[in-house]
Amino acid sequence: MDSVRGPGFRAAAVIGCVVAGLFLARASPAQAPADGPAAHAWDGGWKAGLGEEPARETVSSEAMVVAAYAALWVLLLLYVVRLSMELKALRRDTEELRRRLDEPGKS
Amino acid sequence: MRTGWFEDVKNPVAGLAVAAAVAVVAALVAVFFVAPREATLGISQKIFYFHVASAIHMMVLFALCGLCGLAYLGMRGRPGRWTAVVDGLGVAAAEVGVVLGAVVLVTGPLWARKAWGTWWTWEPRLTLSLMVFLLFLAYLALRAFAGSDRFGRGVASGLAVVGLPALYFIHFAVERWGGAHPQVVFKGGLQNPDMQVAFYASLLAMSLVSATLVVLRLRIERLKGRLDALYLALDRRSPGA
Repeated sequence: MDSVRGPGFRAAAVIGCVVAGLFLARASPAQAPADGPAAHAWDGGWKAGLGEEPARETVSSEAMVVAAYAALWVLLLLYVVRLSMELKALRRDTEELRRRLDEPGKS
Repeated sequence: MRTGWFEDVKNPVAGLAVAAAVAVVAALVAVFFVAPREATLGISQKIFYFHVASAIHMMVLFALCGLCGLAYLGMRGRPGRWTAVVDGLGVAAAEVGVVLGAVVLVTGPLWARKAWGTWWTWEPRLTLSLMVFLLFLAYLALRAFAGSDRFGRGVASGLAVVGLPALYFIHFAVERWGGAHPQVVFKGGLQNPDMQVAFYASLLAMSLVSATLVVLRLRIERLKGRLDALYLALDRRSPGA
């Protein structure tokens, strides 16, 4: 029991410290002034790379849409295939073990 | 006689899968034939519907995994039915969440290239999403190496709990720190009624897809537990045991 309790409670302590730190950082007026729209609240440098040079349009919007939807369904399909294969293998092993257990006098 | 995995998963999963398939087809029709083409972004805005729906479900599933981790730690890993349920649900939610996270991280840059002119930028929401995705990937790796070891499962649960505050910050990143992401959808970011129909249809479709995958993954976890019990029974029966 201690082996489970130890890391779990340590993790909870770490989370507490992280949450407290993040809330303190949020409260800092230097980073997030209370007035003004959120989009202009903080310019911490994340805009680097945006709008520095015009995008070179080499791929059409249609191709992007097709690629996005293809990626979405291919990823999900691959995952379903993986699950079905795992399910099949587990079922086969379970049946095999049950059969061995049902055989009288054999291990 | 069993003829395939789908037949054997029985009614709850089969029913969910059929409902998910119907909802996906309906959502695709709504996205491509009902929702109008956005004036500025053009057809590339169509990526938004399933991208955001996947992102929302990724966050819900990671939150579920974190809560399961919290419950597992609360139960202190004591062997029992509820511990097994909570543990299995945590793994299932994390795994499906990571798959949806991969979808978000692939479709996001494709849309960003057209919307922002760049594949990737280190803005708050993107950076936090990547970090949380990697954190739950680490959770799954840890969980796979831990096997049935209670200590390993406890550490993995602690890691999942660490993801909970990060999820909060992903959700509020746009409001608190700004960023390249647009206004939150539920707060007036999507005003055209036909676009709203397409968005909610995509949300429903992804809900059903996620639920089907989680239930299917839970079934695998249950079968693994049954297999472990059978191995133990066989071990006890073997001579010299």
